[in-house]
Amino acid sequence: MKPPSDVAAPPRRPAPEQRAAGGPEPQRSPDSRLDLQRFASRYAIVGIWILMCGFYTVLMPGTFFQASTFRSIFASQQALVFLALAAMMTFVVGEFDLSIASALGLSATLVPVLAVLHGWNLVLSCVVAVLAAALGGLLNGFLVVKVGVPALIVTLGSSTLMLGIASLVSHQTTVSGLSPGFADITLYEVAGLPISFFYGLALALAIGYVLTFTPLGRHMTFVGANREVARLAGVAVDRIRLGAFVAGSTLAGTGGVLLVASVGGYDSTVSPTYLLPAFAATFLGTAVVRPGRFNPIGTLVAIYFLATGILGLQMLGYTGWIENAFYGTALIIAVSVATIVRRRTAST
Amino acid sequence: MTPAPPRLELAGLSKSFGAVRALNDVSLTVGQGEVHGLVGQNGSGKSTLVKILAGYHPPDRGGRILVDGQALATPIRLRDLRAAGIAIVHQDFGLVHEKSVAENIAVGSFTAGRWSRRVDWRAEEGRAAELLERLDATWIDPTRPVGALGPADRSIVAIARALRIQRPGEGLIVLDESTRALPKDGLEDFYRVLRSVVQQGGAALMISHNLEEIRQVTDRITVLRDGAVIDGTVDTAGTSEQEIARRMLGRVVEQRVHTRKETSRLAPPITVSGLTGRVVDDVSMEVWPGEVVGLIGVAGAGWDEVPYLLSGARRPARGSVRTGTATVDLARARSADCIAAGIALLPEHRVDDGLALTLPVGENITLPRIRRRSRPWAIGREWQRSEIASVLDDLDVRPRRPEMPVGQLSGGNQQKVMLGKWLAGRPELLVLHEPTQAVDVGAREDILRAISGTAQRGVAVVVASIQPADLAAVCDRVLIFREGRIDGEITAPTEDAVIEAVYADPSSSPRRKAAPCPR
Repeated sequence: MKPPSDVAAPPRRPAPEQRAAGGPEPQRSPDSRLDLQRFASRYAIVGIWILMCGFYTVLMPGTFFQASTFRSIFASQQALVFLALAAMMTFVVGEFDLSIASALGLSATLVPVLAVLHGWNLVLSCVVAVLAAALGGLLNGFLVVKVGVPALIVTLGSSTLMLGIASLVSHQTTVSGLSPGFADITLYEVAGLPISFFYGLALALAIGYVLTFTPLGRHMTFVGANREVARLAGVAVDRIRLGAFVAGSTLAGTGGVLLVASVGGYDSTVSPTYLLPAFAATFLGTAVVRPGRFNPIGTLVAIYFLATGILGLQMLGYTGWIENAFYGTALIIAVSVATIVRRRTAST
Repeated sequence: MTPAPPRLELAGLSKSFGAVRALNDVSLTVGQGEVHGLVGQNGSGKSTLVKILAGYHPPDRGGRILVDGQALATPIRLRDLRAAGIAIVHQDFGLVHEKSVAENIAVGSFTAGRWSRRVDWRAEEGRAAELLERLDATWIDPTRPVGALGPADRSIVAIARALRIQRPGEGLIVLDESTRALPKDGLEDFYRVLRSVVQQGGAALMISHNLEEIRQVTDRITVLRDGAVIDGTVDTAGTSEQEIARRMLGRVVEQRVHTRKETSRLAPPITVSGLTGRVVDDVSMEVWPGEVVGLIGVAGAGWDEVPYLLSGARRPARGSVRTGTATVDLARARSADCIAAGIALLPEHRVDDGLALTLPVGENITLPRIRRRSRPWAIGREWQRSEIASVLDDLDVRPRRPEMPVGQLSGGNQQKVMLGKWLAGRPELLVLHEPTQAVDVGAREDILRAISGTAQRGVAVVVASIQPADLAAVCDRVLIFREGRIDGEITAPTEDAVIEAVYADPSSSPRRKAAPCPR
């Protein structure tokens, strides 16, 4: 049952400024002012980033503003980049998946367990690890899309399940002993940064391309914006939602392989700590580049923005508790900002 | 002794939202023992009025709401409303299906033990049984879950709950489109119960867009149009349905937008056969290319179901449609199949089903053709740009800014974008539901012209609308629906002819004969 639509909705009339814009004499100045405003709101976070760097430089003259600081910011966030982009896959189509961090953890656990404990071929271990994560996504997608169970329940449950499986196969220890050469797939230096930084960049660009320039991306955007409109336009809504769950988990699994390759071993119990930063970055990313929309470049910017904030605080001597407090606050602020931006971009 | 003050009196009630006046100086009275009908179209201000009574909106300064002569403070507080004995029964009844009848009736005012704070269930069940008895509905068992009852019994439970806060012979029940969810055979019980409440000295304000029902049940009728009361309150007995309908619809300057181009009928017609949905019962029809066919009827007659069944938005039990491209078995079709067969739908609820408001105008326009016209790895700018430009020009969408989120356009311009989105796909059959709802006069004319222009380009058009003036303006033929079937056809329709036909008193309607009102 739809609510009756005669709720005397005031915004059915065009707002004065819109009427002016469509009037007989379109004036130049309000438009260009609007463009400037749009540019400002689009890249506000970059400005805040610069301010933040300046602030830390003043507080820690001589230690903060150095190449090594920025190298460690850009070199350390690869798992988070993959995870945030994984989270974005489901957000774009109007779903969400709380299990991606556990999928990442399961994959990062499986690689050393299979390769070291069971002596499997390394490549095969990686493939199986990613497939295991993808399978988790398929299960989530099936239950949410086909059966209709709320995503909160399904993904919270599967998250905990994957966490449990990871500690089962690893016997609750950190399995390490991967061959040192394996680390090269992530740590090999290109232009002063580990190659995995460029993986993240390439992935973000690829997803950005798919979302912006391909029919699939357009369909995903519409499914996320209004499922019924997409369905009535002939979009295979359910297939796209299911696919988003699988794609997200696969990306998370791939991130897990890269993570364990760079670190050499993995303690599966830390997986849940990755979830919140990933969500915070994804939401904060909606305030950048394409305001009001989930977008990978914005997400990437947000990740390094948050990493800068954390690193500066840690260099100031705040450690331990600061990470949780910072990311928790960042998530709330990010979503609040995203909500406000969205309300302003679509006033109805 | 002065006569008792009316149960409810609204005096000079207005409500503005910014520059828009949703209610304009509305006055009406509901006397004791009266069922008062309040009718109006979507957007006439009915809902705003109910929301003021429910305390959801404060009215503008100056208006007064009096119950039994006592003015209520505004915005109305729930507590005051209860104390005054006013209960509102909403469209969906607001019942919790898992809970028992007694629990549903008691919710919000449980009697609890003084110290234990435990609900006294025995007392609640007794109270529920008592209320149901007052309504002569003793067959409803207070311990059964509401979900196990039929829709008609549920409506009675909703009334019983409304009565709970009222002493016999007092109070007012406001029925806000409460019968919308009721099947026909449940209406009689509902009306009977309503009558018995009023006979015991209560009163009811019945808000509905169903004229037939209003005529049957009410004592007096007030018509709202554009937020104002039209020609005061009238006695139901001396007023025909046509007359009410005319007041409701107002006089739109009658103007025929469409003239049929006499096509030689070279192309075969679009053929709909055996369409059977929730109400629609084995409907078949033909629509010729270049023809505009209107569908209308009273509320619940099934005409407004047809657009969705034809376009794959909702699946009928049976039925098929044959276009020049394909024959579609609608019982199994999805939207994509119907689109591929050349059928396009403009749904009534633009915000929910029509457009993605947060996304740009241009992307909304090209959506249905994105897959067909692009390569998998690139959408391609050129076809989009030309398609968007031609839609914005043809329909004169303002402002002409494809990158703007659709939600920032006015309702009329949104409607044009939605029309353009489907016209750009060059459909064989265009199906529209209430295409001019909630748009201003200028946009209405643009939209009607666009529909006519579409037909002249050889598209078959079906318009389902409750607005006889719209149908008269664009249709070559109008089909009148009654009880799920086509029960008449008017060629070269005029507004009057359509109103006459829809609200005529046909001897063929068993429902009208079956539900006499005891007075």
